[in-house]
Amino acid sequence: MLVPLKWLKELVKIPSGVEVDRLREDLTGIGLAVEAVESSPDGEQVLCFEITTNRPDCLSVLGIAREAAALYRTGYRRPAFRLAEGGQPASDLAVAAVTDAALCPRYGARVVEGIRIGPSPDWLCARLEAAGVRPINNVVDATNYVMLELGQPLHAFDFDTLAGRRIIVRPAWEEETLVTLDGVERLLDPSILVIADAERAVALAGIMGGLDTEVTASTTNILLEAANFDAACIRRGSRTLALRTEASLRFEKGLDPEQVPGALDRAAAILEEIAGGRTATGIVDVYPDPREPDRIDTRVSRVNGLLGTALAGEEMAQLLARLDFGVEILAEVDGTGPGNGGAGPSNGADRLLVSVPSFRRDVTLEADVAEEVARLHGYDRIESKLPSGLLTQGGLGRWLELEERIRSVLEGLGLQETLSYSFTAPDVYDRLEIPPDHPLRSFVTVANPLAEEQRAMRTTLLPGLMNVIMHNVDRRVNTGRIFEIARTYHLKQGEPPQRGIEAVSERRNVGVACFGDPNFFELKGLISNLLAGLGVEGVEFLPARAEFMHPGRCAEARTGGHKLAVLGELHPKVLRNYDLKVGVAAAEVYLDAVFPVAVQVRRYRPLPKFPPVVRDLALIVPREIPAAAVTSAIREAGGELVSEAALFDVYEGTQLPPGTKSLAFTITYQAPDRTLTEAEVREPQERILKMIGDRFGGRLRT
Amino acid sequence: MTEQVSTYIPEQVSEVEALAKSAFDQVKTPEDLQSFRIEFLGKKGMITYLLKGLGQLPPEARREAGIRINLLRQEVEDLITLKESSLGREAEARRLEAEVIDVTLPGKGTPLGSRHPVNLVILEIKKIFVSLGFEVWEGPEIETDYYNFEALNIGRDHPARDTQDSFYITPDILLRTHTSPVQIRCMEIKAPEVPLRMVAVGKTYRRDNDATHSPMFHQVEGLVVDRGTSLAELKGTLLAFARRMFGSETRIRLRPSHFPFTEPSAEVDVSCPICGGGGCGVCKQSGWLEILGAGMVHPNVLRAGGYDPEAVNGFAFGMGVERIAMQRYAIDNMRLLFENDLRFLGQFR
Repeated sequence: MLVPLKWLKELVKIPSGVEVDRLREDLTGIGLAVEAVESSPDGEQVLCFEITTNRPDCLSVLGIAREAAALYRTGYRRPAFRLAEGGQPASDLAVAAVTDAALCPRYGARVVEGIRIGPSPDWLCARLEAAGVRPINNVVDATNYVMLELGQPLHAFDFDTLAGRRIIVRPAWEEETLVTLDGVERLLDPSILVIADAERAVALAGIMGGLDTEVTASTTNILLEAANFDAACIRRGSRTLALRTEASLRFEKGLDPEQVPGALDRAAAILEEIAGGRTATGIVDVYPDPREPDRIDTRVSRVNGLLGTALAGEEMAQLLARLDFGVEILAEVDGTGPGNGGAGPSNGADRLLVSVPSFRRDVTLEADVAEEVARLHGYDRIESKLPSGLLTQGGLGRWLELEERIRSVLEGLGLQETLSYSFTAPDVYDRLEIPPDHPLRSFVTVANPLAEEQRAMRTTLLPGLMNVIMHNVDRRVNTGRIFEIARTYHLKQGEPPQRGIEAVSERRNVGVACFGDPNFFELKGLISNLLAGLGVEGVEFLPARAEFMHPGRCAEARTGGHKLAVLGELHPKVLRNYDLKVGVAAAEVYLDAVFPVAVQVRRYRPLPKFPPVVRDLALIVPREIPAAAVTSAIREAGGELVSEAALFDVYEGTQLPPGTKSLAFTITYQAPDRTLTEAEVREPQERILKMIGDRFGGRLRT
Repeated sequence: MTEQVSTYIPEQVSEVEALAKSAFDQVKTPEDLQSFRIEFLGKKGMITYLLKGLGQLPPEARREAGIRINLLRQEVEDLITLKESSLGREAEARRLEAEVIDVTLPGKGTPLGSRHPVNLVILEIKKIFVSLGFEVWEGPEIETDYYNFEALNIGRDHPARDTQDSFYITPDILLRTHTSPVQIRCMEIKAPEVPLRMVAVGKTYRRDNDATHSPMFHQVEGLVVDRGTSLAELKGTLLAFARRMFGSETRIRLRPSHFPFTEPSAEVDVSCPICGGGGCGVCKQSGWLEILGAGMVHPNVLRAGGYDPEAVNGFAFGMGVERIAMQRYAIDNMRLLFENDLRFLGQFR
């Protein structure tokens, strides 16, 4: 909203000494945010306001003037003009009817005859241009001028083109069409309100006029419309037609029906002055149900309680009166009203009966009145104090604590945290070679994404990690270790999304990736360290398959039957799909599975009191036997005395029979209550060798 | 030879002593010392020779000679021990000298990783509010129209929906446009318990994408519901937060504004932590940074959460994390936060 300073000063006296910077700050301080002060084409200062949606009354010079007057206590005045109406009553010339007063509470019109269409005088053009509106011709310019000044949109019809000289405000018919001023043919439906003549729609109510009835160079008589429409109806229509105009922007926020006659008079007077018009007597006014002003019973104690102030009722009344609210101070026998909340004094009047001016339709509740009091009193004059209520115990909660722990472990392990969009391209699941009926394909779809590559909510964090890798490799950062903690979004399989929110689930994952020349074990080291850092015990890594992973280099981390993570080297075909020249090892950790087995507080286990006996054992076993199986066999056969069996070397080569490998373990024997003797260790050692032989056909390497 | 030493000749001992002293002076290396030891104390060494001769002396002479020669031997052994350790020290010093390394070569081990700057800021904010007694809550990112809009006093045709252009899944399900729905979910669980002090943290989504907007971004939102809480307490809470976050000299400024879910509402500016309010590039010369939106919870919202607006008041506030991160770390383009260039992320170790 652009307001030329000179125009504003015609309607309100700004105290001398208040320069534009101060004015800007003061208006911003009462809620009229001045985003900038600009200069019009002819060097006038123009205030650029950002008006909040609740204040359509301030989308006008008059509205700003009213606020400035309240602020500076100087008073404002409506624009002065002389209207020389006369002759035949307008109501003899034109008829107006409204089919649904709820959608059009007021319809007003004036008839102006004998117009000479032409350019507007320079002063008018300059003022419109300063306010950011392009001059068109004197009639259109007059309506725009009044809209900017008073906030009431107007429309001028070429009166002679209106069939039957009749106006009907009605919902559009099914499949009715209208060519609007911008030359576009619009297909309408009954949700859209139109202005019609006796035969057809001639304008989209509150949005835009029609081409057929527009004012042209040959127009001599006009019907000037100023009306009031239901905000929601205009908003819906404007949205349905994807057509937003200065008029619809105002109507959709709710305007004051009381401003209709004043706007018609002002516009007609301008037309008399600049277009030689003769205004017919009176207004055609359809206003069946004039709005009574809202009255809000306001408790002084409640307002003080809400604001944390100690204002007297009289002070509040004065503040409200400056904003044109009518205030009746009611004496209250009882002193304190309900909802005092323990704050604020209650000496003097405790109740105000506040009448809301018709242009302030946003004020409907006691809390709204409180805001009016607060903003004119000054938000900066309200003291700052810390909450006085009972103490509460704050906390992150276990989930966020777990996430923080993950960040510190992974940060310590040298990983960099990334942050990527929750949405991805639907074809990413093809790139990842995920088969058609795979659960990872049950993604939630965004109906109106900004771009196709943001249409699918991700079901795995892998696409984000891959994007990060691509981005970095493109910039010659060819190695890295990254992670991201984020949610994945899943559509319950077989459920149509129409089923509602229950069909959608969100899970928490950690994605980890190493790129450059990574191998499985580098990644496995990170994942096992992470799980250890979270206090997860009994983690096993078992061979697994995933379509996007190298078939021989992929594992699942499990504990107690729960799948905690999938990890592996990415399949070369996936790397080819991404045209990626570096290797990638990636893991996805399922936090929903980790959460219940993560341990927050560790239990101490007593340290051994007696020295251990340590034996190294090199075993030859068939190549395909997993090391983990041999380790568990050692523990199983060795029994309680084996406190640790650590693999320290794997050898395959010419010194061994073909098809075999050597696994070298350091076995630690430990008893809690004594120092072990040689003889005591010999026995489990023999059991281990026997088990290796029986179970795997293995033997001691000598 | 044995006959020659059958008598004790003190001069002979003195001569050996003099020889030993002058020979010792020539000892410069461990090898010299070894030759010296052999020359005097070896099996055929001079002092050993003298000692061997003792047995052939008459008993009366043997005692005196014994004392004399053993003293000499002791003296020479001491000299050798001393010399040994001094030569050892020198040799060690020379060895260490030769072991010099280039300490400017890089250290070993995995370089430290890094946290994302957005999450660094979130953690700071969370810590501050936890210390002020707030619980941190989360909620679903895929929300219903009810929680995202209706319950927050934003009806179907409310103009505020325009400023929160949403990503829809279905007409009734969308990606949440703010963290405010968590307020409602939290109140539904807690009501009528007071005081309620919570912050909600998480990802939010709006259909915007430019240098200062991202279609996905993060918000922190706070809510307090209590008997008798007020705008004054809102100011106090936000001032405490701002001072912890931006420095103890920070000031805040509330400007009236409008949000459908609060009444009265305010935009909250924080005095620019870079210039302290004098005006600089970061605050565009205004001295203030727009950081928060806040207000007293609208009665309809309290009601939707299950509280009686006649019995309790509420205040709420919300802030965009990316903007704070950008100001904090002097990042000029929001896209940097989502590109994940490791050279950028590595700056937050």
